[in-house]
Amino acid sequence: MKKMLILLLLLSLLTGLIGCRGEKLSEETGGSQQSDSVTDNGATERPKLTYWFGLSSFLRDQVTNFGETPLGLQIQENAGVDIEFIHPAGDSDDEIKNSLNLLIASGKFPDIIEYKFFDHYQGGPERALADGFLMDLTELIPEQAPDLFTYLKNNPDIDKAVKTDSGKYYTFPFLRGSEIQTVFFGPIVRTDYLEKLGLDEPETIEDWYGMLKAFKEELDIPAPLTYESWMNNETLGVMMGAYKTANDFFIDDTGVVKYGPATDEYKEFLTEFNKWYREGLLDVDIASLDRKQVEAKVVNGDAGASIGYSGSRLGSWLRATEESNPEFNMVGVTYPVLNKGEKPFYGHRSRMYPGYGAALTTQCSNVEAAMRLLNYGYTNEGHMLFDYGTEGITYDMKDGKPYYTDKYSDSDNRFRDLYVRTTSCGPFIQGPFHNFGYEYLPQQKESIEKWNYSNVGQHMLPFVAPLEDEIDEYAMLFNQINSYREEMFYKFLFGQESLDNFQEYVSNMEQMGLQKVIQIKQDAVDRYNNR
Amino acid sequence: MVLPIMIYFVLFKYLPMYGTMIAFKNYKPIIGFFDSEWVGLRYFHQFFSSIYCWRIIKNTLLLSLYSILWGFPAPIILALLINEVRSKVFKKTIQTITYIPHFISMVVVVGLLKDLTITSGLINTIRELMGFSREPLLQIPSYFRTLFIGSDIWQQIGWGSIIYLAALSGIDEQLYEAARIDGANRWKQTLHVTLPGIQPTIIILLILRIGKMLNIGFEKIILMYNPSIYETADVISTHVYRIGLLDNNFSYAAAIGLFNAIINLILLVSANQLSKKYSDTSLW
Repeated sequence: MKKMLILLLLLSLLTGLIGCRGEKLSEETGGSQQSDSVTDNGATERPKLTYWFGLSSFLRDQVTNFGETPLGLQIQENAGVDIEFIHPAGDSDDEIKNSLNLLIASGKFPDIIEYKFFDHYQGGPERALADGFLMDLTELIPEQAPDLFTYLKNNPDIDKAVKTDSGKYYTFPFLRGSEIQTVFFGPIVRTDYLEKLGLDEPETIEDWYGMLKAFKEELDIPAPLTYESWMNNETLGVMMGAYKTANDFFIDDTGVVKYGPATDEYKEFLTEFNKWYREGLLDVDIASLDRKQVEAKVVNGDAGASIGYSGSRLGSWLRATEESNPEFNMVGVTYPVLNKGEKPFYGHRSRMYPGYGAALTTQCSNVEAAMRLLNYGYTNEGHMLFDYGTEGITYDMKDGKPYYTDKYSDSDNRFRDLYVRTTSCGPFIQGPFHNFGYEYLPQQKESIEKWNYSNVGQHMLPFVAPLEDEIDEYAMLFNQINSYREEMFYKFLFGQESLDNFQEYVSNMEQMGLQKVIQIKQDAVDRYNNR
Repeated sequence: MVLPIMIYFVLFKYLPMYGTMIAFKNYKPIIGFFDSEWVGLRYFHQFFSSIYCWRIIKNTLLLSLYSILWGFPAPIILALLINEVRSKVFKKTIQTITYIPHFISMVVVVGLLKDLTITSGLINTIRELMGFSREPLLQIPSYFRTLFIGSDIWQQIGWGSIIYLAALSGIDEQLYEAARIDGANRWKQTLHVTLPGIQPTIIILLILRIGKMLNIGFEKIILMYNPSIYETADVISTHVYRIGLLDNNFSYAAAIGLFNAIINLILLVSANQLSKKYSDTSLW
């Protein structure tokens, strides 16, 4: 009996080990297995390329390699290239960063890499070129990527954003096709509660105060305003904009770069927010809430207002309560201002070029094929493939315009990601139709329009990076300042530190090198403007 | 016969130590180990001149100290208590119940903890019943250590007691008999027979524990903490994670890791020396 048990144990251990290794094998050869079957009918050998990018979490439980998806096969077919896809383990930003570092350390680069070079590669794209990691595409793009090049020439602002400070091209960028796609985050309010109380949607900070107080006192809501604690970072700018400041670097009305958490207006904001906290209008646990906890509060009616994304928060909250609570209604409201009639100073905006894209490494084995493959995303055909998918399955043409099929609209990303890449990022231009196919609820459309109304475009910093030799100093100084800011925010908010000591807090940041940091940012912005 | 083991140790443990040199260089993965610029003690200097330096060292030491102070005796006490129980069924049940939490993933435990400690959570409900007011427990710096160590004890006490129970079963029955004849009651027996009986086990485990003192559970703290409790929750490893690793500052992280390791080594050797002096047991 005992012997049987031991034998069973050993067997299960062995199968576990073999199982794991088996998976890894298929991950690396999955792509080439597919391509083998496709080249069989071609007379000439198709060029082969290796392509590294993070596989979407929705696809991870369905396939081990992108080459197995309908979209993966279609791209290879349309571009006439065989691709061996390689995926890093994990899908959080940090895990992918780690994987890239390991890749670089190994010294063996794939032909093409997709990555958020701007924000996540230390030193930025200029450094990636200088380090000999990425290939300089400045000479290649005009001739070998005509569709991308035309688009960039027609959109000089974007052209500026996708180059390095010295004017080099390095990427086939992910771009949003229109401004309105860059807005998808902001304050959200229970409109059914507003109706009950006979209130209008809040516009000013005063309105917000009144509304939250009414939530607490008349409707007995325990946490009138609640949101996930990580949103106490830069995104809190959506509330701070009322005071003409932000929770980050921003450009003021005179064109000067400022650091929001060191401005006097920040103190005014904190005073108000502290008042909200003391009177119980802000969730008591605001420093430690995660997504699930906030969702529970919102859906159960323990909260009256929140901050979040139109799709993954507002959209999913609305869908979750569709049947269980038909009265439930939430919609995004405009970013608050101080005086009625003002246009919000700051808010949320993602970028037309969020820093993500595909690039050729210096070890690219077939430059011509890689350029051709990546340019495909910017052709009309490529746009349709990436944005809409396969005709008949994910979209139909009606009167010459593409419309998503019901199957697409009713499904979630598990199905969509098999056919399109428009749900995340990639080397193509995301069409404006994406949003309206994805966000089909009228409340979401309304929210986006309201959040689009702001002056954030003039005040948000463009995507900039410090110079090569400034990076280490900048990182060390800024990380300390940021850490200090985070802690003090909560101390001021909870009243553990009196706001009378605000000046001391600012001078502490000065001592940590705040001026140097702001100077570095200012120089970077000036260089950007002169590109 | 020992040769394969020796080769294993040399190849995989000693040889890679040369990698610690990145603590003294401005390591860039793409340039590699040998070509990265030598900067000497720059990162050590950076670490020690940070305004948070004292705080994070203090937090690390305190957390470790309390963890040993409360967390180390707990499994011993549990083992002693279980040992006293007559009923076999009860014994087995208690053992199973107490060591099951060991198998729960740390992430799940912290998730539970988070849900229990928010203002509307169960722990606060109990506190209210006992006459205290509801508080967001994970936002108050002074509660952090209690929550951290308390949840650790809950999770590890059962599993940790297993080794002590094994040691307890190795104590000669005749010693107990002799003690009883001499007129010792249960308590005296515990003090003079049981504890000395498992003394070698306790000491070895204690020395090993001290050797890990500065490696306070990084993952668990990262999961549990938030900026409002950095005061007590921020330790060396979490601080370095934020400042160093998130920006791919490998050299900074390596430098602090080296500092950590050296301190651990000093503690380990000292603990061993002390133990050699005052008892018969030691690691080497």
